[in-house]
Amino acid sequence: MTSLRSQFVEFQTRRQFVGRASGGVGVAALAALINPRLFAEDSTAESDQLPHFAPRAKRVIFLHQSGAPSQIDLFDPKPELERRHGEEIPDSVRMGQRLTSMTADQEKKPLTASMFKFAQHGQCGANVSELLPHTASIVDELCFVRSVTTDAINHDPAITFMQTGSQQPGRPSLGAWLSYGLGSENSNLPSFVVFISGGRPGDQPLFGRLWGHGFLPSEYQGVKFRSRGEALLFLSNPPGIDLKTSRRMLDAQAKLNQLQVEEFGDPEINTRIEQAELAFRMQMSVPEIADIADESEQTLKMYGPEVTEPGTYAANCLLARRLVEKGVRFVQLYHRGWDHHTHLTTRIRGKCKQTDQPSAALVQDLKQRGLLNDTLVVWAGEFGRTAYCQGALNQDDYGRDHHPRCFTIWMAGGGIKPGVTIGKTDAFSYNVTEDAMHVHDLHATILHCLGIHHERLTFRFRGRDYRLTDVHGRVEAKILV
Amino acid sequence: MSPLLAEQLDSDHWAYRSPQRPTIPTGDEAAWSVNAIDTFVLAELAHQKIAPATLARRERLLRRVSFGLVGLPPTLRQIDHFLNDQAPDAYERVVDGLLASPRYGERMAVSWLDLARYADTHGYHMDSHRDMWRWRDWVIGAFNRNLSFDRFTLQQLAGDLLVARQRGDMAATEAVRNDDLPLLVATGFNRNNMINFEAGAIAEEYRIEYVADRVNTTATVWLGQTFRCARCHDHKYDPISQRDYYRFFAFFNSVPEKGLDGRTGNAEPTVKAPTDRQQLRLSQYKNRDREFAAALQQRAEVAKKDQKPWERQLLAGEANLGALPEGMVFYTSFDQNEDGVLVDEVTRISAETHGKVTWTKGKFSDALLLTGKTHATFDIDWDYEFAKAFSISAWVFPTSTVPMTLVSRTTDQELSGGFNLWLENGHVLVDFRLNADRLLRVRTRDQLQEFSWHHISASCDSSRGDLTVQIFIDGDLQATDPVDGTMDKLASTGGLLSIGRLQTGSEFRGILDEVRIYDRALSIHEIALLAGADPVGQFVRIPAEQRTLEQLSIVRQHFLENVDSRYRKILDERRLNQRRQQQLERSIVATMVMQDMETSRDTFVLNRGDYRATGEKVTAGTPEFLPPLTEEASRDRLGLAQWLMDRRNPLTARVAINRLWQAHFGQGIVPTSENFGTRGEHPSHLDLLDWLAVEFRDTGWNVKRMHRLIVTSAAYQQSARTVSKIRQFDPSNQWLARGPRRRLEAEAIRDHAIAVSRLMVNTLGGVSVSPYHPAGLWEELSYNPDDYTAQIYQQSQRGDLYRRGVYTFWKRSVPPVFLEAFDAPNRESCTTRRGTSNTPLQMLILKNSPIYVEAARALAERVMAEGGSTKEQRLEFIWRLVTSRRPTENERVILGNLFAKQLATFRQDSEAAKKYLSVGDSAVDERLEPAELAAWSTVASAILGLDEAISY
Repeated sequence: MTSLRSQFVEFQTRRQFVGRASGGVGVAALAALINPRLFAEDSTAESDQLPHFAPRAKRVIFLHQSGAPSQIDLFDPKPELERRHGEEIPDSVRMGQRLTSMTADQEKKPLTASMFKFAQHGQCGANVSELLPHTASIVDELCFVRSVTTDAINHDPAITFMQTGSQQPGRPSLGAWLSYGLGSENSNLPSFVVFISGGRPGDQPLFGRLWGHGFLPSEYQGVKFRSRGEALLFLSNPPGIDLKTSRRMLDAQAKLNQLQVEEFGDPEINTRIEQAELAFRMQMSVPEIADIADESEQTLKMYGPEVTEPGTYAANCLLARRLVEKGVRFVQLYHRGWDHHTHLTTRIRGKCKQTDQPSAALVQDLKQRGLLNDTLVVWAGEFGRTAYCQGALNQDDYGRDHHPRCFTIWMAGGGIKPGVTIGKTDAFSYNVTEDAMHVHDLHATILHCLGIHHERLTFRFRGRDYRLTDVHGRVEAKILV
Repeated sequence: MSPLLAEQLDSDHWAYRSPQRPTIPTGDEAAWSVNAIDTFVLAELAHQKIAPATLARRERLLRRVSFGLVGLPPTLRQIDHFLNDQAPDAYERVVDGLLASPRYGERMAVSWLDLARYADTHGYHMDSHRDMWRWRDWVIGAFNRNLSFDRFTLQQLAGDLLVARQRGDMAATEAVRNDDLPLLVATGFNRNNMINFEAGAIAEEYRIEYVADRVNTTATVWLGQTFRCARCHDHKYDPISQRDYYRFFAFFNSVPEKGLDGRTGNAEPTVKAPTDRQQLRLSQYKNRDREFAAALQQRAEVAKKDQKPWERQLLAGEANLGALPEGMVFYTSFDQNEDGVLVDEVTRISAETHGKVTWTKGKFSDALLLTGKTHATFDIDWDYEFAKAFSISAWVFPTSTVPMTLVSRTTDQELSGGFNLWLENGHVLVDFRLNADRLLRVRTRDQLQEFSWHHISASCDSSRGDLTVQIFIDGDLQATDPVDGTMDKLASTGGLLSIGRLQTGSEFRGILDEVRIYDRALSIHEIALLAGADPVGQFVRIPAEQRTLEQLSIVRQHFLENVDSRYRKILDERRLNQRRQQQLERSIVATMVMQDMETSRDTFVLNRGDYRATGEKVTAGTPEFLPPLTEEASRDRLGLAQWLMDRRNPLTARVAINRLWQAHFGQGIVPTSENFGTRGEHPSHLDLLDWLAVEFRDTGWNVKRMHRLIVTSAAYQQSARTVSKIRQFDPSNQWLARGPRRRLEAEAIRDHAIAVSRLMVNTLGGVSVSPYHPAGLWEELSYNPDDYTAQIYQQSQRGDLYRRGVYTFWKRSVPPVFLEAFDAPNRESCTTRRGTSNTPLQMLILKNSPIYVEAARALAERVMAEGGSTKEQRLEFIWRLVTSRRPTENERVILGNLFAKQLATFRQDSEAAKKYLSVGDSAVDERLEPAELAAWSTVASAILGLDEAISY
């Protein structure tokens, strides 16, 4: 047989390793290790041993601020806006760029200064708004990128882009790529965990595809940890079934399944037995994660008063730390409600109050435990907000529309330079003037921190080798240690 | 053509050559072969120097073919029957029986729904609901009646054009005939794409995505080609140019769709799609209406003789005129009652009042005094869109000239409805929303006087075609003018009837009394009656021979409708019948369909696939590397569909038959069933693929026949057991030296559990259902449930909890948990094959999810009821139900021990037993001992979670 080796076989066979991947060896890497031939006819075949080079980060916590926070009111101060507050935004700034249909026809687009005060903080002197006092207190641990840009101007495509590298659905999420590429460091927990907080009626919706597996095998999909009911779906035994009965049923099943292995020799049946064992172990390990009784008072205090309230951003930040501590590869938080088209001035206060202290605490907590070295923390929304006002510009009250041209994110830990700010925007925080970092570049840089060359982590689907960064992506060396 | 493309064409890729019927090889073991398939398989096995496996054991074969054809396990009766049937054609008869079952269509539909990216929500952003289940039922029906694959194709891609062609006009959806309906519904295939309506999004950007999705899907399903790669540039591996892509794109580019639509359900274009039953009932109502009309006429003749005596009585003061017009759907007198609330005196529904309610002396008894700060809303269940005609009547004493509303109704209906009856500067105005985009507004020329009582009435009637709106002041019909107006307020959701306000700023100032609504257009005389006049009394005083025709008719009609009780009775029955008909019409769902605009949109090559970067203009056409469209072929979707099914097309038959093969063997002869391009896998058996493709095509694209051919082959009937050497040599079983053994598809796993436990409710088709579902799963991601549908999970009731998986409501952003866990796709885009992952979440579901716990208990109940009396009999019964075979001695021992231990455990702790049995909606059989039932339930649960239980 000289034809291409079946991708399907590869797909099938790789799958069988999933249940067994542990001890820091990734799934793709393990498969290649055990059976390098699997990749031999693959076009990407230089039989990629993952990681491709020594990683600086082993784990990622991504704090997604869903709805898109205003960079102008949080991180990117613009004195020029104060001088020209209320004036029409110059055409020379807009340069005919497309706007959302919410403000494209708005007659006036008055420049709008932030009503919040900025000050420099820390040794590095990073500028942070008064809305984020806790973040301001740890700026020397953070790297601010003020020059992130995206292609999308609406939430669905923009957040899909930020999480999957494509505006349209169908691609695997960042976390799925990482768990496919690197596997888990803990055989009792999923490798990719998702938390959601903050949702109230009218907040931007989220969708399963944001943590989906896309065309990767479905086991790489993110697993949602929930604050209501069971932490993980169907984790608890049914009422009336105790541990002993559960174990007994499992043992009987294992024996019966084993008889089938003997009859058919199908390795899938072995995997099934192992998955049942893993499920049983997860019934123990997951509640342990969710039970924060062993956290010190000092730690709880650091995360703020909401930390003991399940389902809050603060509680989720703490759980994120507990999970990475146990070797979970990728923890994705979503905090909803940052879409401030109107009444930004009051609404942003609420969001900052919910997120500022826990975000800062997470970084500090990781640092205190020596985990920040090899854990990458990313704080980002899906785009920025406009320099001009949406709706009526009143004293102490304004709103801002979606702005894809620039926004600010911060990163910390795992291979990222602390205490730096890169990227410049024009006098209106409208266009990037220096060190533009496209979302693809951000992805390439994140993968780089994990020891992955973004052009070499691929999966063939519909005849094409897909990667997270599509045909783009540039690692931003300026922010790397 | 670019040099790159030319070079690739030279490579002479196998899939681009037309399949020829290959010679059937002859082999040594001809005795093994059942049909032609086997000779090809055997030839290849000989080549690989492996021998085929033996015939599968009968129970296993039956289980395999049963799941393969109907997606359900065989029943014990079927198993016993097959085991005892020694006739040589026993297996063939089983196959024929399965192919004839309506469950066959449900099983086959699942894969087609994956291909068609079918779902019950729009997918993007808010992800609210849509109604496409009529299309889904069309698919199930098409499989069941074995619609040939070419017609299946033509109808789904171009059913609307077939109708137009048959009828010789292009107005297919103008007046849909029942016969045409299935052809239109079928075109929903290419409306299953995701649809967006995110605020702020740019319509054209998304419209282009929808068209692109149709290109990608159509090319994948029929051609097995990755056209999508050529959206931004010429295909890098296959000979598809970017120009080819946009020529193909042009076929789908003229749908009259909006880009951003579907906020409140289906997006245009749509067609009302009554089910067969609804069509039948509708025609019954219509027939009955005609009968009533005839009966009324008859009664009128008979009653003629009584009119004169009545007129005489009337003139002598011995009779009165009778009541006000009949048929109110809403009435409030504003008379004070004990509770101090406003009540609709027709339905007794109370109003929600906003602001302070003040009563005052009215035209009749009490009335409502409004000072611009108060209004009332009624949540009444009346829908004028389908009533097609209605009238409003009210007494008013206005005290202001500002714009102010008397009565309004916003709507949550998709297309039309929403009205506002209001005053401005003494003019009376009516706003009426005709459809999503058009508002009708009329204004009286005359003005009424403030600070005096007036009767205002308006009637809207579209029952005879165009909408007519008439306004009356004090019983007189008014001259009106159309005026411009914006409609956004009427389009908002809510659906409440509001007295005294439309929106903030439109509150009524003055006194309101006696508001009535009728679900028909009142005659001018009925309105005069309401306005306090007495037209009939007047006319009766005129001697009959001196009355005008109109006066004669009014008196006569009044007599019949209000005095002659038998006429009245028939009239009431007729109106009831009409109301029921309207109710039925309201419950008929629309479904999205394909349609072409009268003038096609221009299509351009889009540079890098960007909707803004239009390049060369192109016309509809097929890719250059494939045989051309014929001269006479129409350059529309029908021409495209015919081209796909043309015998010269090298791809369609191969791609389609490969998927049929995949359905039974788990993987296709070409494993990459989505990609027959140069980067796809080479077929393991090219000759076999070609033979099957030609056979499929040349025998009339008969789908059931091909399924039959495949499952009756010796290759399919082999045992799945094999020696480890062969398994290592061929782990995926591409050479077919053994029979298929596969994990079941997601739907079949759940169906299996509810089938063997007899929970399953076997209704064929219907609106999608919402089985058990973890709380909060939608809500934590969703938007505002007040503004959008499908934001809050509403679990189904009773029988609908136990329907087959194919009917599960599919929300794209949160796919059904159970199905997703077992590798069902999220239906965002076309999927040709599913993975079969093996995860801990699956094991948790099989043990702990409510439907599985309930199924185990129901299965245990069944076993205790009909599985014999001894433990051994019961064990065997339960085992056979789940695995389709008898247990071995080892298996009996393992399960027997589990049962014994669990029985002891639950007898010690009967509370635990009761708790375990309490899971699920179905009632527990109270006659059974809880401990024993619980013990059997754990045994059932353990068996249902076995690898064998979720495999065939």
